[in-house]
Amino acid sequence: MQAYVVSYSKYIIAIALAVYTLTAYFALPVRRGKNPFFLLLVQRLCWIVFMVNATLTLWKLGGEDSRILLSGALCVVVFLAFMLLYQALYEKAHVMLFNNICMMLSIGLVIISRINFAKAQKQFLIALAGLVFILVFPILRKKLDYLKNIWLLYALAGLGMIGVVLLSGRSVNGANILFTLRGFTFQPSELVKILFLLFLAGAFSGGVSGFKVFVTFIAAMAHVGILVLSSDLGTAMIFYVVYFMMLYIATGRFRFLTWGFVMGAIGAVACYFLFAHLRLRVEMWLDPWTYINDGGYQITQALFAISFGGWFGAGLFQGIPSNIPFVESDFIFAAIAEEMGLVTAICLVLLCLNIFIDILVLSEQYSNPFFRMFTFGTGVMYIFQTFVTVAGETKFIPLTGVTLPLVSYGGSSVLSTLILFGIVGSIFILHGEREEVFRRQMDLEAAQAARMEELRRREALQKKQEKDRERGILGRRKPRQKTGPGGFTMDDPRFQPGASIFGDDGQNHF
Amino acid sequence: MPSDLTNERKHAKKQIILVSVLFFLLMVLVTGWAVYYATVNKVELFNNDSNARETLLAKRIDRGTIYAADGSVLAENDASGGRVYPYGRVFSHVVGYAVMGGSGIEEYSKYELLHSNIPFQEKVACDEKGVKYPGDNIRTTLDPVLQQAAYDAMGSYEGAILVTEVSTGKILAMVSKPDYDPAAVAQDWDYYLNEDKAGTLVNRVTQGQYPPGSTFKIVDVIELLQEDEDADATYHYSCSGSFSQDGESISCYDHDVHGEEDLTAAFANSCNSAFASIGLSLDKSRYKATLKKLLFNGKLPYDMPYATSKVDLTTDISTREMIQVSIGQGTTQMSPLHLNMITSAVANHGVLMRPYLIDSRYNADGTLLQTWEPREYGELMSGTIAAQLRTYMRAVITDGTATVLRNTDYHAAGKTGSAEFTDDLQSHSWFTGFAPAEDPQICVTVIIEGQGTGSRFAVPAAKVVFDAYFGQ
Repeated sequence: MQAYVVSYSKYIIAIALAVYTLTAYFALPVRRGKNPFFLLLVQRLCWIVFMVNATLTLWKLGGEDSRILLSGALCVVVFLAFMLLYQALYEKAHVMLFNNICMMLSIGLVIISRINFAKAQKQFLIALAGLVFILVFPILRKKLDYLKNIWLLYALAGLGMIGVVLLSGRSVNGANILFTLRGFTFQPSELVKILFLLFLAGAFSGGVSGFKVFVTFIAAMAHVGILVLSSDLGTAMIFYVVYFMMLYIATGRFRFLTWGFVMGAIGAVACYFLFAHLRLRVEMWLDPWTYINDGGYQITQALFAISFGGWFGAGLFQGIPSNIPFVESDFIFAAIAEEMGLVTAICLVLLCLNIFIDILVLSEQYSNPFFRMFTFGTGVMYIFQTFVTVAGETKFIPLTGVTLPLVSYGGSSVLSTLILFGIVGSIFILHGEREEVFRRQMDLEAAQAARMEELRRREALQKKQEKDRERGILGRRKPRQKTGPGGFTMDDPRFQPGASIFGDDGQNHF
Repeated sequence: MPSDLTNERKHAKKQIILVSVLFFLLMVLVTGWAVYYATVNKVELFNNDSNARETLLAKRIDRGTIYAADGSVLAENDASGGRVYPYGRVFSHVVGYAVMGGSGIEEYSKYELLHSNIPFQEKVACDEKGVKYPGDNIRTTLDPVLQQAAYDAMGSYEGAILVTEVSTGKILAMVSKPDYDPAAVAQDWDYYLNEDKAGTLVNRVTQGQYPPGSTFKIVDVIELLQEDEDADATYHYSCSGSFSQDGESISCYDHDVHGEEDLTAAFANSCNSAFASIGLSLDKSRYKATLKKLLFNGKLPYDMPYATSKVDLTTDISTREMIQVSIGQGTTQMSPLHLNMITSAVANHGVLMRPYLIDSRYNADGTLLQTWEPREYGELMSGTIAAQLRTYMRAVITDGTATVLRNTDYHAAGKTGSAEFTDDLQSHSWFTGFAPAEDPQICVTVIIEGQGTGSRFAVPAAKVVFDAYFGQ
C-alpha cells in the first residue's frame, strides 16, 4: 500500500495538474462570457482527481488521521458548491476564472496540510470567507461606478495604515509588517494593496492630466517609501511596478515606463547604500553558500528542496520542506517543487500566467476606464507578486519574502487576493449585463428601423405603382429586392463595442 | 466624444498586449531558470553538507555497495545495517567513510548510493517485509591489486601514491598515509581530532600541498620548449656545481659538478644550476600564461575536494624568487593529483584526460543504470613538446636520478624530486612518471614525506607499483 501511494500518487498529481493547465489554455481564446461546458467538466474532473488523490495520500502517509479525510471532503464540497452557486447566481459570471482560483487554493491547502495541518484548517476558513465575499459582492455591482469618486481617500487611508504599522507594528522575520489588533494579527500591506489599486484606477479613470500624474506619483512613492522603511521590500517593489504599469496604460506613453525603469534602478542603488538590511539581502543573494548557516540558510535550504524532487517530486511527506524557515508563507513554491515535482511547479506558474492573461484580456475589453484600470492593475499586481516570490525562492533575484498569492499560507494575503478577484469578477458580470442591455437596445432599434424602412419601401412602391398606373405601363414593372432589413451595416458606430449610447457623461461606457 | 474613446481603447490594446508579453517572458525566464538550476545542480546540492536529505534517505534506503573495477566489494552494508569495509585500511581515504559528515567516494557518491532504482514490484515486496529499499550500487575504477601494491610500497612512511590510466584518466589506485580504519571512524573521531593526528583523515593525494621540488623542472622544460623550439638541439650548459646571479646563488644537490650538459643531461641529472639559469632566461609573462594553462593557481578538472596549487610568479619577480620558482621551491605548492595530471598529459601526447573514480551505477539487481565515460579536459602542451619531454623523462631512468627503474622489462620514464620543506634541509621524496615510455599505459605519482631524495625512497615505491601492473 505504502509503495503504491508513494510511487503513483505523485504522478497522478502531476498528470491531473498538467491536463488542468492544458484545458485552462484551451479555454483562453473562448469568447468572454461563454462558459464552455466540456472544458469546465474536464477541469472539474481534474481538480477532483487531484483533491481525492492528494487527500488520500496525506491521510495514508500523514498518520491516517481521519480529520484529514474530513477536511479534504469538506474542501471539495465547499469549493464545488461555490463554483456551481456562482455560476447559477450570475448568468454573466466568468466561471473559468474562479475555477482557476479554486485550483490554486486547493494546491495551497494540500501543501500547507502536509507542512502543518492546523495552519491549513485556518487557511481554509479564511478562504471560505473570501469565497463568500466573491459570491455576495456582485449584488452591489450596480454601485461599482461610485467606487472611483473617492480615489484620494484610498491613498490617504492606505498611507495611514502602513504608516501606523511602521511606527507601532510588530516585527517578524526582520520586517515591520504585522499589526495586532485584539488578538488578531494581520498584515495591513495586504489590505493596502486593494486600496492602492482602487486609488490608481479611480485617479486615472477621468482622464489623465499633468496634475493627476503628479499627485499619483507623490502618493505612490510615499507608499513605496514607507514600505521600504518597514523592510517590506517585496511589497514596495510590487507597488512601484504596478504604479508605473498603470500610468503607462492610462497615458499610453511609453516614456513613463522608461522613466519608471531608470528611476527604479537609481532608487534601488541609492537604497542599497542607504539601508543595511537591503545590502544584506543582496549579499545573501550573490553568495548564500558562504553564509549557509546564518543569513544564507533560508535560500540554500530552498534550493536543496527544489532540486531534490526532480520532475515528479519526492512525493508528499517524502521530502523535508519544513527545513526552510517560513516555508508555508514565503517558500511554498520550493515546498511544492520538492514534494510534487517540477512538472507541478511549472503547471502552477503556467496557471498563474493563465489567470494573468485572462484578466488582462478582460481589461482590454472594458471601455469604462475605471473598470479597465482596476482589472488591469489587479492582473499586474498578481503576476508580479508571483514573479517576486518564485524568483526570490530560486535565487533569480534577491529574496524579499512575499507570498505566492492564493497558494501561500497567510490570511491577509489570501483574503485580499480573493477580494481583488471578487471585485474583478463583479466588474465582469456588470460589463456582461450592460453589454446585454446594449445589445437588446440595439436589436430593438434595429427592428424599429427595419419596420420603418419596410413601411417607407411599401409607401414608395405604392406611389410608384400609382404613378405607373397613371402612366399605364403596368406590364413592364420589375420589382427590386432589398438586400437586408433596414439597410444597417456593421460600420455603424453604435455597433462598435464600447461606444456610448448614453451620452458623454463618462458614466455609462461599457 | 465616442471617436476619442475608440482611439483610447486602441491605445490601451497595444499597451496591454505589450505588458502581457513582458510579464509572460519574465515568468518563462524565471521558471526556466528554476528548472535549469534544480536539474543541473541536483547531485551537487544533494551532496552539500548542510542538506539534511541524506539523513532522510538513509532512513528509507539501505546504502548501496561500492565495488572495485574487478567486482570485489570495497564497502557494503551488513545485515544489521552497519557499514563494512572488507579491505580495511587499504582503501581508507579514497573510499572514505559515511559517518561524521562523510568523505571520499562514500560522500561524493552518496546521491547514487542513497537512491533506489529497483523495480516497483520489489519495492512493494520491501514494504510488505518492512525493510528498507536497497540503494543503487556503484562500480569504481579502482584496481585492488595495484592499490594493495601501492599500499604495501608506502609501508609505514607518510605520503601518497596516485596511479592513473593514461588513455582514460581512470584512477587505478590512490593511497594516502597515515591511514585509518574506515569502519571505526565514528568511535575514533576524538582521537583523530588530536593535534598530532590531525592530518590522518586528510587525503594527501588530492588535498596534500607540497613543494614540487625538482619535479617542477618538467614545467620549466615545457616553457623553455615553447619559447625556443630548437632548445633541444642548441641548449648547452656548463655546470660547475653552483650558479650565481645578482648576488644570489644556488648549488646542485650534494654539490655535484655535472660538467657539460645538453638539455637531456641537465634534466636527467636534475641540475639545479642549469635550471636556475633557464628559469631566469624565460619570459615571465609567457611563463605565467603557461602556468595558468597547466592549471596552477586555479581549478583542477576533478570532481571531489582538492587543494589548489600555487606558484607566485610575477613579471617583476626578484632573481632570488625566480631561482626558487624554477626548482620548485619557495612558496610553490602543488598536490600529487596535480603533478599526476601534468605527467599523464605528457604521456598522452599533451592531452589531459580528466581523472575520475566512478565508472558505473547499477540498481540492486545488477541492472546497469548509468556509466561515466572518459572525458578529455584539453591540451596542456603541444604533442611535440610532450614527445620531447618523454625522451627526457626516459633519460632520467637510463642515465639520471632514477636508475632503480633501469633494469626492468618495461621501459619507465619519469622525474624525481626532493623538496625541502624546512630550513634544516629535511626533504620530501618525489617521483612522477609513466610506463611503458614508448606507449604509456599508467602514470604513477609518489610522494614520501620527510625522507630525503626521490631516488632513494619514491622511485623504489613507484617500481613496486609498476611491477605489480606489468606482472613482475
